[in-house]
Amino acid sequence: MKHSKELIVGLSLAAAMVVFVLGIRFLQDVPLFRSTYVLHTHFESAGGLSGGSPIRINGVDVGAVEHVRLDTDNRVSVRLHLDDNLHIPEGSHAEIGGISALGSNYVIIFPAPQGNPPISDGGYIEGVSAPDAFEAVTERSVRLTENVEEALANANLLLEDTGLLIGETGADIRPTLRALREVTDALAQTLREEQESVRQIIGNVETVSGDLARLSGAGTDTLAQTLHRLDQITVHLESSLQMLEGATHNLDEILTKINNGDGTLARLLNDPTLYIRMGSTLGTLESLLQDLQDNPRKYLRHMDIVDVF
Amino acid sequence: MTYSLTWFLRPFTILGKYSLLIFHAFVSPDDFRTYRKNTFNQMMRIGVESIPIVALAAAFSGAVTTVQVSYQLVSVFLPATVIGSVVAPSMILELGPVVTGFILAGRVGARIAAELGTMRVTEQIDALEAMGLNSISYLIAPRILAGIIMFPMLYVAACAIGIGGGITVANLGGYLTTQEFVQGAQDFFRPFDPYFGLSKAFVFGFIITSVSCYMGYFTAGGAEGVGKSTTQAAVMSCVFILIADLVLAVTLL
Repeated sequence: MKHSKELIVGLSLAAAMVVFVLGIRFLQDVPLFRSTYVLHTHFESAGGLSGGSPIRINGVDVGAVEHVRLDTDNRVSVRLHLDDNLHIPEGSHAEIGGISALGSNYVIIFPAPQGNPPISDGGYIEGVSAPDAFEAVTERSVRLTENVEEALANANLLLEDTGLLIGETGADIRPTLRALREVTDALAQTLREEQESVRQIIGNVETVSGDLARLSGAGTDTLAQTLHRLDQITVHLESSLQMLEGATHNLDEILTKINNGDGTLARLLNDPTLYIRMGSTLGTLESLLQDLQDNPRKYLRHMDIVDVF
Repeated sequence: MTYSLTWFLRPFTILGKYSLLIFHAFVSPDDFRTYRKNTFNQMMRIGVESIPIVALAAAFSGAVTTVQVSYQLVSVFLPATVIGSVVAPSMILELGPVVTGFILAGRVGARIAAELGTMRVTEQIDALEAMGLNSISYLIAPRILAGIIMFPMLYVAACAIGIGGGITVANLGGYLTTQEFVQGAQDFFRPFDPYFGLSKAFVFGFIITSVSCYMGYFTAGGAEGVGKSTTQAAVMSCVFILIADLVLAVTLL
């Protein structure tokens, strides 16, 4: 009986220890009875990663982080427990995923092609520090806020400058505005005073335009006929002008030829020989006629009137 | 010394008396083998015999927490696994040690105070002293040892049964599946949590047994005094558990 009491106590304690150890392994998502495939890695920043965080390959849980510690060189050392049947090829790398603000961080392993030799148990896998999505958004929002602040500051400066400008020129603007108002008032006054005259003028203008309208209505046919004739005349004139242009062109050609000394007419004009010959011929003819007057019988003796007619 | 000064200094007097009692209990000239039988008896009574009531309380705590968290965290933005993420750490960090502590403060604390108080008022303690035994070591050391050894065991049982109760109710009530519950518990699990819970259990075990021993050992005033000591043992154990719970959370987390 004495032993049984001690045995029961011992069994209770042993059972509690087993449950405790297995419970931790279970909640860490580490296989309860099998050994695990252990890998080490380093990150620049843990980014909210802690012991117990899951490890995923293509979104599937394959193990858990055992611990996250700071090295002597201030890099983050992480020990990973993976399922024993996994073989991570050389050249694979690990990243931290998830949103640290929600505490749901995990390690993502990007495996290299399966042809590479596997990393040995307890080996090193390269850790790549990717920026946390939430941190990236926060970082951008900080920049955005800075930009907005800068823009607001500029807007403030602009408004201040505008205020100053208005303040400085205010003295000039006010009299101008006053003068403008006076002019407007005077114009309004004049318009009021001359309202009757303006009305009469507008009335006259209306009458004149009415007359014009009537006039144009009555003479429409005649005007159209006249215009038609004018059109015809214009057409004729155009053809005449074309003919005239042709004639002028021909005349130009003739004159050019004359100037160049081509043709009979040109020679007639340019060559003095004919003139000289004609002069001598006329002189001869004159002396002949003189001779005829002086001595008609000499020529008429051989002329028979009957033969002539 | 005026009455008010005595009243002011009273807590310090009690603290000193309590510290000396614990000190004398463990600094004993006697061999431990003298107390071995007594220690195992106490481990049996404090630890093993408390398992059913602790298991019952833990199972219901886990079940109720699961139902209430399901009720509170109904949202399209939260996956069902979040219930497991809340219930498991709650059991490990808080409910496991504190519920166990309260139950044992009533069950074990009252029992120890009543035993020692009766021995005091019936002059059995004086008889032990007359026999040449160190009554403090003989009566108190086994009880405190049994407390600090068995209480962590009860804590582990409470956590396991509590989470089990949560999973059972989650399945039976259709709140979430076992896989979802476990997935949620694993996602947000931190290995430090159970060690923190275990340290709480260790401290609570010491508080319950030592406070109850103090109350019982210094009982005065006959049967009425025994009743008073018993009540005070249970009440003061609970109060010190709450204080220690806060102090540990602030210092260790």
